[in-house]
Amino acid sequence: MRILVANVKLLCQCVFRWWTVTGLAVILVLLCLFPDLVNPQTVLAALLLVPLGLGIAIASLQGAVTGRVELFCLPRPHAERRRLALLLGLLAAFGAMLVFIGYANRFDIPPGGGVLAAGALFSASLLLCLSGAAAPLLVGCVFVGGPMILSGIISLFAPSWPSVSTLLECAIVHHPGGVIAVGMVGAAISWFWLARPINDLRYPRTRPSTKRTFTQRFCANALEASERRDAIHPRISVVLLERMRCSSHSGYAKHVWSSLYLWLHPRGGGRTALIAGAVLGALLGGFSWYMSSAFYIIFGIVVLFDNHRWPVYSRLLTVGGRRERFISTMVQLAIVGGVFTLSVVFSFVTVDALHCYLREPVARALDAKLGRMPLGLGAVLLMLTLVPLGCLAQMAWAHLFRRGDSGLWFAAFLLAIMAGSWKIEAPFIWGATALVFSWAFCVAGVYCIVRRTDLFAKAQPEPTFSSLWRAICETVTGQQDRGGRCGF
Amino acid sequence: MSSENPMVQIRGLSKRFGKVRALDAVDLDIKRGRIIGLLGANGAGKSTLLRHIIGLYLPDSGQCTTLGCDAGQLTPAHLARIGYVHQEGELIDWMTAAQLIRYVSVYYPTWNKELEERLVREYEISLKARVGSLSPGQRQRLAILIAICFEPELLILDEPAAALDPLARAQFLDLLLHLIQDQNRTIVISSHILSDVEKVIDHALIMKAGKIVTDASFDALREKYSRVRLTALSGPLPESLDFANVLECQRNQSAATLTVADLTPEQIEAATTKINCQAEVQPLPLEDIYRVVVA
Repeated sequence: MRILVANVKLLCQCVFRWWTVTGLAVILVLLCLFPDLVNPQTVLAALLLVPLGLGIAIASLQGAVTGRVELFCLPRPHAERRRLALLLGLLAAFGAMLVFIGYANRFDIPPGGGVLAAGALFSASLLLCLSGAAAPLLVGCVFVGGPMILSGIISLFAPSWPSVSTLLECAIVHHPGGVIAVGMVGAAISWFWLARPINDLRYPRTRPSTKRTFTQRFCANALEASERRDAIHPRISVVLLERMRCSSHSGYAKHVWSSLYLWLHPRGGGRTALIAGAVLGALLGGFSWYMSSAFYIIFGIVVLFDNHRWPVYSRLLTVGGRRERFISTMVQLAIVGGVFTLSVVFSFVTVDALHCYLREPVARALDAKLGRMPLGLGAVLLMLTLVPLGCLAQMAWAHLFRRGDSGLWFAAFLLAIMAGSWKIEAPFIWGATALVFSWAFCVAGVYCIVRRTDLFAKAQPEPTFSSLWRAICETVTGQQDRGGRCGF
Repeated sequence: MSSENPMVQIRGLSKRFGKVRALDAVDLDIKRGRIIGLLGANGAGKSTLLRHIIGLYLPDSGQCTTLGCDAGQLTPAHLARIGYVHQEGELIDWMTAAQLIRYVSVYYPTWNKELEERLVREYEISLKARVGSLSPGQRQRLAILIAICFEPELLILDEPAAALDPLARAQFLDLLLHLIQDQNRTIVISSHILSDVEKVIDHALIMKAGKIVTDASFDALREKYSRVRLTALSGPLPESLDFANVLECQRNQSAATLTVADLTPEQIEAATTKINCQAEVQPLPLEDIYRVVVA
């Protein structure tokens, strides 16, 4: 078997990522074929976001393979890495190009312009795929900092920043040559990067131990700096620990304070990402109805999926019983819900306060204005409905596969794109009912997990189609799963 | 709880993971003050059994009662009497060792600060290092520290020394010997390093395919199984050695080594006199007892 074929076969095992890729591709095709489904104000943003997600998903597929230790045992691993990256990059970019040519024709963009736009996106996709493959080898950033990077990129497209949005639009549609050039240069840099000596690429997800490159030194320094900052403010820490110490051993208070302590820790409960998302949402959320809801949902669910460590599967196995784990989880869930609710409330205030400082963005290619508009009640309800469901989904995933860091954020991204781009107009009563039911469902689900399942979280390998299907069947039929009774 | 009541009582405990039966109708009593060695091959069900005892796993059928309470319903008050070190050594990776110790210590009113400081010093735990960046051995030492420093009544050690180097293992054994001086403390230790285990245990549980095949005091096992070295006093040994319950036999013309079960010294002496040879009887080390039982 040729090495490239063997690597492609390894790729086939990353089932969940394939689902994400397929889902995003379907959305992309639907966006092009049925643009009427989507609010015209957001179609361009959606068309930019979906390939972005697609590219990252494909890049992560490559990262999953190129980061494998076995690869370093093969002959000429860096050459294989290059070939694998190129193969997937070309396929993804070619697919994206076809879709965008179709899109350009549909909207009567001049044929030449459409081809050039497609070419630009081709280059951009290629760049994305190649650099995405290199990124995990640099600092593991696609996985470790994925949501933050994603959020940063999305914020570029947030219509609250008219100059950036217009600039991107102009660059891609009206000046594709420049984008192509940037894409090609980026791809070339990535190409050469992939051929670095093995020592520089070994152990891609950990800090390299020998022969650090400039980039690695930079990342290591940043990590060390973050470690120095890595503590709660001493006074808060002392107060919380003292509260814990003074609390009754049999009561709930100790575990409530403990949850707060863990959440306040910079690395504990995804505090930084959650607060960053909430603050950005509060500042920028009210400037376009659909995009701002997507913005919120992406921040909320993605952050929850990737960074949160739920106390249900606490690694300290004997500090609290099942009841205490349930209480701690509820406390953290309440914190997350509270932060997002505050963010929504503040967005109503800030949208007026900031409006005078920001111009309204204009999407020239579509001749559409992306106007200021406070969050609609539907978006608020949708966001607060999705938060508990996202949390529950994450816990369910951990229950099924014992993987807390499951990479489910891809699915959340998929969900977010759909929720953010499609027209959602439901009566208030339906929205409110869904909200109440989602939280009730979440509480009941967490309770079932805590009281009726095994709580020892041990990482399992990447799920395969058959294992996923078996786990779902076992859960639905009530039979025993690997190490756990079904919780739902 | 009276000293007669078992710390852990298990009745008909069964557990299945998919198609694999991890535990098969296990019955077990763990009495106070015992140091129990839990032995068995990989996949025999040792860790599953231990996780049932602390309530992490729920049984498919049967019952597990720990400290008088159903294991699945253990409260913090119960858990504060149980120390647990698990083989994966998973802790909160993003904390520093000092933060983790401080955080865990507030859960336990009985936390022994002096013992903590001594163990930090002896185990050379780097307090400023992030737990996730510690070596497996260092992490295991930290796990042992936080499982021991609140002086639990029931200490459950699931492969505690697997990641330790020989020196650290010796230190750990010393620590265990120190701990078992407390007559009230019950320790269950699961390990594959039988030469270490036999220095501390007074009771052995041997598991095979989800069942407990031996549940006996270590002394009883050593009395039950013995090795007999036979040397012919004149001429070759006879073809047939008239010993009952021979489990293994290695021989040549003039000497033989037998592994026997349930033979008293008088029976051995009678048999050796009969075949005119000299016998030297030795107790079996735990490793050989385990091999014999499992085989």
